[in-house]
Amino acid sequence: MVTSAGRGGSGAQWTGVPLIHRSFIPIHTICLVAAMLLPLPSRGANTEPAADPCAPVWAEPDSLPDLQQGAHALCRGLAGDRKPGPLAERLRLRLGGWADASYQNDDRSSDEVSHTLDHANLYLDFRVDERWQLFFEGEYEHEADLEGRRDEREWEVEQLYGEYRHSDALQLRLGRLSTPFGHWTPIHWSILVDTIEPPIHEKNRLVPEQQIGGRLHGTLFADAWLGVESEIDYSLFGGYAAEGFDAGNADGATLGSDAALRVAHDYRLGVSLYTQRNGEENDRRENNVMLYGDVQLPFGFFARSEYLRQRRDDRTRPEQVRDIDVVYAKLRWDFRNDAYLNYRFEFGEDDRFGPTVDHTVHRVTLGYRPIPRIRLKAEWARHIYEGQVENYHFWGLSAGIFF
Amino acid sequence: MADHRRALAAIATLWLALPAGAESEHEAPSALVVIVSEAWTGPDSLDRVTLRRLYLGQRTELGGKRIHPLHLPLGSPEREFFSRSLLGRTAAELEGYWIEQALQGGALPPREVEDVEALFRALRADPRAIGYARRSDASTGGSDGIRVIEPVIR
Repeated sequence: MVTSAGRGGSGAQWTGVPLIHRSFIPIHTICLVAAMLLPLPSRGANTEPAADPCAPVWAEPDSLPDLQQGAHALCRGLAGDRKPGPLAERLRLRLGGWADASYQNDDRSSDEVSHTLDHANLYLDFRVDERWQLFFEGEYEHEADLEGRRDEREWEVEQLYGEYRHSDALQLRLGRLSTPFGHWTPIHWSILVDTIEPPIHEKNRLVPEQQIGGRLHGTLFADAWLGVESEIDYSLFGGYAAEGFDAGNADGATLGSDAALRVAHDYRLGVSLYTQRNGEENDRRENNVMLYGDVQLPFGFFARSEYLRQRRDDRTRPEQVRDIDVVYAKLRWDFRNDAYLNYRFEFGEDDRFGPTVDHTVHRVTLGYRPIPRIRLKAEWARHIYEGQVENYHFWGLSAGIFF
Repeated sequence: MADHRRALAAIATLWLALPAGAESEHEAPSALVVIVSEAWTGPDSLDRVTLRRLYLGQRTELGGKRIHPLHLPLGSPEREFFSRSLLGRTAAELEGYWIEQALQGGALPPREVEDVEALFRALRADPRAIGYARRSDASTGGSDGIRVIEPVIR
């Protein structure tokens, strides 16, 4: 993935691409937004009676209904509301993905300029049977600034794993997998999150998004213990990163855990632990603790917060290393079924631009989902730094579609 | 500049006034019952929490056996009523939920059947399947081999 931390590289070079005005909104973003706003056929329009092609599979009690559901998803994903065909049934696949495009700009005087960030993501979910699953997710990312000085394209395997499901309480996943650390890190896809820019801890990649290793996880239903509707989601995971086994900035063995208690459906409180050596920072040891929680409030309000403390142990240059504390708190108001307004406050130590400085962000995002498969976002943010880093305003537009 | 502000305010007002998603033209059911096959070997009653977990894919088993929840078609008044009253979200919002699950390789959504008759057929064919219907539908002649378990969802 092209990291935001990698942006703004100095030494801008003229590549011969014509200079484009800073306020220009890229034509492909406009086209994508326009295409998304075109009338789409109603899901209920396809009502002709037809024999359920899944019936032969479904009719056998000992067969695999989930596979058939996967076939449903395959056909629906590719061809609207049609029922699955025989090929989909045979393959037992769920295929889908998403694409988004964003235009981002700020008023810094440095060479950070307006740019676009486009993603295309494809996943393939193969349910061998009710217990075994193979999953693949690949992502293509294209980031370019509008003055033609940078044009980066990258293709990456985001996830590739096999999972054995023993029960709701015990599942084992092996391969390249999302790091189950807090809320944002495992669900970091730009189209899924409420904002265009990620919070500080995610933008600075304090914890890698992926692990190459294994994860033991499950859900425990704790109603009887606590006397109230409650679930505990847990994960124990470990991985290994080395040359050829890239997992962010990790080097060597990694280890972590996550546990979240959800109560009465609307309240969640979690804690995550993670340790690794950072191969990009003198192999220093990084021990991370995260506390996170969210709550569904009346009148369509929803609040969430994540607090991360990273303790850095660099024995060779201890005087140059500071521990990091980063926190964000957000309040989202779903003022319509298909629209929300989100405010997020972020604060923490930030060393993305060199020396560690305090960084505060006020961020407001307007989100609109004309249909569930389309996400539109408009965002404004104020970045305030203590120290020599220049303060700036950020604004961006984003459009995404699931397919 | 003032004109621009007035135009923006007018657009925002218009947007807020627009209906958020199409409403069903059908009359919403006042109550639904949970139905299973006569051969159902699971518990004789299900509380709302367990039912919600099953339909959100948070729970897939009861008594160590895999359960197969079934949905009526998207857009049907029963589906909308069920989603709102039991799952706490509209059917359209739930579609977004399942998209997110799919991206994470997570739970699979309940299988969707075409109508109540197809639901009855699917239930008869699978003693581990579970569905919902209007009480009146569940007591008609076409519902042979189907039995009602609580709760009644209002």
